[in-house]
Amino acid sequence: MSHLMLARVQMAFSLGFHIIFASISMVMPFLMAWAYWRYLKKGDGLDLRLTKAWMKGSAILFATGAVSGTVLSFQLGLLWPEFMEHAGPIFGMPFSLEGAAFFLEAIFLGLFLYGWGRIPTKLHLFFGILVGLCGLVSGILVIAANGWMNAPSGFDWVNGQAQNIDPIAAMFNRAWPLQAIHMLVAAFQATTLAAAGLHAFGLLKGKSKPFHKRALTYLLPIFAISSLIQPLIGDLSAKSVAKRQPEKLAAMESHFHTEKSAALIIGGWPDEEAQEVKGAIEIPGLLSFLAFGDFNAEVQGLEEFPRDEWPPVLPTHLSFQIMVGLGSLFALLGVWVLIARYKKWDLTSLPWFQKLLILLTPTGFIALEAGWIVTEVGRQPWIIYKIMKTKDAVTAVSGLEWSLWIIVLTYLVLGFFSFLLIYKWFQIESRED
Amino acid sequence: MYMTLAFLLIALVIYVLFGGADFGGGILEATLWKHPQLRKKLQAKLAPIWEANHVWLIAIVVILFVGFPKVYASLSSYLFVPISLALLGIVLRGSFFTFRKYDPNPQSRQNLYGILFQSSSFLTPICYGLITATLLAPLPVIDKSSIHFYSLFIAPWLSIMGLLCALFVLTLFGYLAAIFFYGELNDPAEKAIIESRIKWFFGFVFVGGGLVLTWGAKMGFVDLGEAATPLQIALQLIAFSCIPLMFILRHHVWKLRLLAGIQVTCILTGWFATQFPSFMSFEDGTSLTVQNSSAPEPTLFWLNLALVIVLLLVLPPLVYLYRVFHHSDSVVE
Repeated sequence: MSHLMLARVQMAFSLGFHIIFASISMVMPFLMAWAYWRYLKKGDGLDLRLTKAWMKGSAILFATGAVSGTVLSFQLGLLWPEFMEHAGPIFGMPFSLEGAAFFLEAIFLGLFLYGWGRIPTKLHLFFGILVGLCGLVSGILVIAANGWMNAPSGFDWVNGQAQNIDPIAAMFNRAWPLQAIHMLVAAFQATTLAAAGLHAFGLLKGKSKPFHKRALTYLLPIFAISSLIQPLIGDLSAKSVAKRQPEKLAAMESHFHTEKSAALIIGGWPDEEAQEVKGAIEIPGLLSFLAFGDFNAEVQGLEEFPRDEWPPVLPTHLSFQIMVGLGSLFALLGVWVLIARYKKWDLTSLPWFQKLLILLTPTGFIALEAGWIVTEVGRQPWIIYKIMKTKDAVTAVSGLEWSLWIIVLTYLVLGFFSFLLIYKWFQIESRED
Repeated sequence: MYMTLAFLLIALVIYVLFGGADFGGGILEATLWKHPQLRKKLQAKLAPIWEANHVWLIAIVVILFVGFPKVYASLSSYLFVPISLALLGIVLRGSFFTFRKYDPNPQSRQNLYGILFQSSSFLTPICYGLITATLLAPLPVIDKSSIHFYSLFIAPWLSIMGLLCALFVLTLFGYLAAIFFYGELNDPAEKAIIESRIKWFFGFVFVGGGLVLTWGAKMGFVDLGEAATPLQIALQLIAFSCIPLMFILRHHVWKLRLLAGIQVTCILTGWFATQFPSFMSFEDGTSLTVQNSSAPEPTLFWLNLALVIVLLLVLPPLVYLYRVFHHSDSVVE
């Protein structure tokens, strides 16, 4: 692997790892607070058990998210010093605010964990909600920084130096709002689906059936609603990318040649050299419609752009297909769950539905990671779109294979222990009744 | 820009006090292998905002890359290895502390958790010492056409000065944790054990600090003689005058902690004063100073404003958390 590739893989691995734990820390506290609210309202002990179980999950995974986030704040500089030297003063604003949101999240989590019997219950519940809110704000702010890399604003680039810096204009860049909403909804989908898978497993194998059933009645509607919202936001995101980063859209769709009434390509294997896609299903005119709302609109193909400014087509295309494919599946599942709820069908008691949920446990996160690959790989070769190339930002320090190995090994151990402990608690919860 | 620098110093002092005491907890735990009961109490006392103290470290990083981006970029290159190792320590320490706390059956993996938690509590402070020492001496200039890994990225921090600073930071952190923990205990026998640890750590801090200063003076990093500013001398005097006061006030928990805090503040301010106005200097005679490496004015304005807002937002709930946790002994979960 080349020096640049080593740095990119290390960054991708660290981000990909952190995103899982950060997403869970954004969503779990809301679930915990929801169950707690139900308990305070109805006094059902099952809700209290659920609150405490989800609270333990939040606490274990929060620490892993926190330390891997600390690592990232350094890695930006360790791997991309040139980038940070120029970008730091421009897009630093959301980072400083994010630090505060994260700290508040940790403080409120501490108050929730240690507040049992020490704080008035309503205040205790309020702190639980605040944990989730601060997590959301923290995620939204970090995405502002990423959005700026896709849609740089708030400065003039003169002879390789930034001038007339306006940190506020940089924070409110054009990519931010949709990217943030897309990610937050994805976090809700992925976390609720993974938790539903785990509880479905408990329902199938464990003894404490009412407990897991109660969990599923809370998780599934949230999953269903977020999965129905997501395609709409995804559509808006694609339209925004079509305007801002046409070559990214072209790579997502493996759209090599500029044409009117462009076809939507589903699946297939793109060949960059031959500039064609093998084995894809094509729906005429649909890409033009999805990107610009007009079946006859012209969609720019990759051929319009210099060859050395193409994003890597294969990974971008495949990840996009995985994300959209899973997203569509989730939307269908969501419709079904809502219909079942309306008709009062008892889906969660059906063994095959339980097995389906178990099978789907990791898929939310697979879709989420695929989405990030589309955003990040689709922006290549730029680290700041049209301003600085990734290869010009990489560190001069050689021997990156060492740090890559260490980080992969460390994170595998961390991931293993985090999920081992979750599983152990899960077993304990499933045993008692 | 001086306001941003002041925030940097404040974040550093708070990080050393609180984050330092966290690491010190691991170091102190390693010296208590004969006292399992005390170890348990120590672990419980470290719990409430585990790892959240690293926000102060993140604050330092953010202030550096927003306010002094060239310094951040240079630090990241020259200190790639010790920073990476420090991070490894932070990651292992934080997560294995949590795993130990939340393992439903911790006995079965107690040794593994303990070893990883304690050894990583040593690793990071050692790296901090190495990093501090590196900034005192001129650094080689990076020439991108011929990168020599050892002389650029290893030699600057692998020095006797670095090892002395590592010893100093390590024992300083242990000392802080011991001072904090001492105030949390009621049993005289337990207090006596921790008091002996305080004395040991302090002895090492004292000797280590002396060695750092004399070796630093010998190598020309630190000026003890005529060039020492009145500020530095005053800071040293304050730091030393805290020692006898501490013996007198050892039964007053908060006064004792306050004195230790003053000592650390003096040490760090003294270090800042020694460096000022340069962050780091190079062998070709140039240096990165507060003036020539700071971000443009609008960035600094918004950064300072954000930091003030952040402090106002964070402090009230933080104080509340400490209060809730402090009254926790009597209540059973």
